[in-house]
Amino acid sequence: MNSTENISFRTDTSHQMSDLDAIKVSLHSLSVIALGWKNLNLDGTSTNDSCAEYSTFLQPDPATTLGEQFLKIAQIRGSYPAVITPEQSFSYQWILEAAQTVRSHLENDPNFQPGSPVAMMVNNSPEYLGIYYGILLAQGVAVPLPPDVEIDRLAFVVDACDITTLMTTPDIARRRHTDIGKKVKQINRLSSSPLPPQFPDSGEDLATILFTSGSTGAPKGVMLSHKNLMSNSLSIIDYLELDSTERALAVLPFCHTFGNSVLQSHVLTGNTLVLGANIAFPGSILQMMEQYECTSFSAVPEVFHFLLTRTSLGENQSPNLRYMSVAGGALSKKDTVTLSERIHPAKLFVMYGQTEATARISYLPPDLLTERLGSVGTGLKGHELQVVNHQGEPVRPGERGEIRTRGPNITKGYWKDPETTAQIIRQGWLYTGDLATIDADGFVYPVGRSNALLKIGGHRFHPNELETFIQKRFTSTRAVVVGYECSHLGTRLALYAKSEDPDHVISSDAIAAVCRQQLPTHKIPTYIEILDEFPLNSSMKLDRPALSQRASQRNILVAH
Amino acid sequence: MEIIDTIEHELTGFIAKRAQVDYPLKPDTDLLEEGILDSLMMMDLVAHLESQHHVSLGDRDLSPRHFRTVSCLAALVAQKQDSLNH
Repeated sequence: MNSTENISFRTDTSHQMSDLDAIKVSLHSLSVIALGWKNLNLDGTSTNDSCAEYSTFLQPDPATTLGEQFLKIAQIRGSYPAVITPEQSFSYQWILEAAQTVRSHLENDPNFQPGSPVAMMVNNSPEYLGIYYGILLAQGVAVPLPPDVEIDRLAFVVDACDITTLMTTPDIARRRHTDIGKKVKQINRLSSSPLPPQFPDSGEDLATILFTSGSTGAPKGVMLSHKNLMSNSLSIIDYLELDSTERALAVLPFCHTFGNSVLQSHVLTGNTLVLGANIAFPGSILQMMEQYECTSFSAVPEVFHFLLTRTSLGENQSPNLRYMSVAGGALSKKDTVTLSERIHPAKLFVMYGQTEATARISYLPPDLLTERLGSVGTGLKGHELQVVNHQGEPVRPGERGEIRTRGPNITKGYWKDPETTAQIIRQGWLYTGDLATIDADGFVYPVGRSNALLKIGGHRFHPNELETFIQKRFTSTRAVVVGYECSHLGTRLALYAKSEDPDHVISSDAIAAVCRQQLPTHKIPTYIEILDEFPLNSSMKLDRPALSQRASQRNILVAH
Repeated sequence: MEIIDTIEHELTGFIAKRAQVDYPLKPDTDLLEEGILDSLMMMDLVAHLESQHHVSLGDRDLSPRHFRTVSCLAALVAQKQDSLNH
């Protein structure tokens, strides 16, 4: 093998190298295409947002596909800013030209045909928009992955979707070269104008596959059609009352369902996304909101908690701010009340959803926030939302059950997994796996999950993913992963390991090293301990709650 | 000087344990440029500084100026501790 393997796998895993080597060999055969705005040298970095014609709101046509709607908007909004970053603005014309460049490249690739999934590893950037809509203009299916995705998941997705092309930016290609290889092709601007693109005949065709953690631990590819994405975006545009002057400070990753919904609802209406805020520094969020006169900010509960405790959020607030929205977990009642008071007169939308429902399932109208505190509302207009018992019958007010929903936003299913699809979608209903109560007026109050999925910093995570990851890399080792609550921070991970072979010693340092080398931050356990035996409960089963409690008591992040 | 060294050493250990780094972390490693300091890391780091180093951090402290490297951060912590003691 070449020398790059030494960098990533320094620990005592030599006997396990073959699997991981095979992964790298298969990834190195991908065609890696990089698009960087500096190299593209396209026109359209000077923008104009003061033109009278831009004051008309452009209601997207629900019958069109995503690519068609994007093209229409880009042509009408030409010099209007699609993306603003601290470095530069990028007009809709720029995004369209970048997308046409991507489209032209794909159409000339003999391995590509309409319907082919194309992977993308791109941070929130103008390039993300160019690549995403470029794939759609070529009638491909965009498969966005986080740029720090672990190699196991990347290889899983590439294999599951028969992906031959990975699109990225030059900086990510450089950072991930040991995983994806060094053969990277940079694409440049087109020399001639392209022919008008063709579009899929039906909104039922796939536009995107979003991979997420499934209820069994293996990644699941949620298939989203043009109709799914159009209808959910239209619902969101409607209840957030988006007009033609929106400027969202977009910090949620576009490759996740919540971030994707912010992206689509703004681009399909020709609005502006402000990028480049670093949520590690909460003060910079406020500063950017003010500087760029942002009209909205959407984030997960942990980020709002951080803003509430660490900044003067609400003081000197720009009059442009119209609303903030929270989803991806439950914001505590206290934080909900404080946040809505501090940002007043801007509104707070508490929302609920999941990838399998494209993004949004429900939202609480801001004027009902105090009256219905803890609720996520009654569902989207024209969609059904129920809480049901094990027999699938609606529960009585106050009783606990599972949330199910039906509407045009429900996924077509998991990619190449009809079996699991049949478990979550029954008679057109999506069974969310979320537990809730419902009141007499139909307001839904989530209370937890019916499966082992955890939420860490807004990311969905199944403990089994990390257990498998460790067991794949350390032989004769059993790993158990549990979530534990850190006060104010939310859920974090604890990993316990045990050697199954008395002659084989494992060390927590070696495990920690592999985790931090190969996993994104939210999947790295904050507590690792080697045990001789795992605790068992009274029915002689693994006592996960005891392990969770143990981690809380020894937590390194908070004082005791 | 010694106090700063101890803080630097402890913080380097904490960050290296918590973050996604595949090389030895140095006091002058640029945590921002290397993509080490994402939002989760930042939240955990702030919680750690407050619980283990007994400093309280406000809006102005949480800036790239203080968090760019472990050295900058150790200097901030030492200065905060010093002003607490006097």
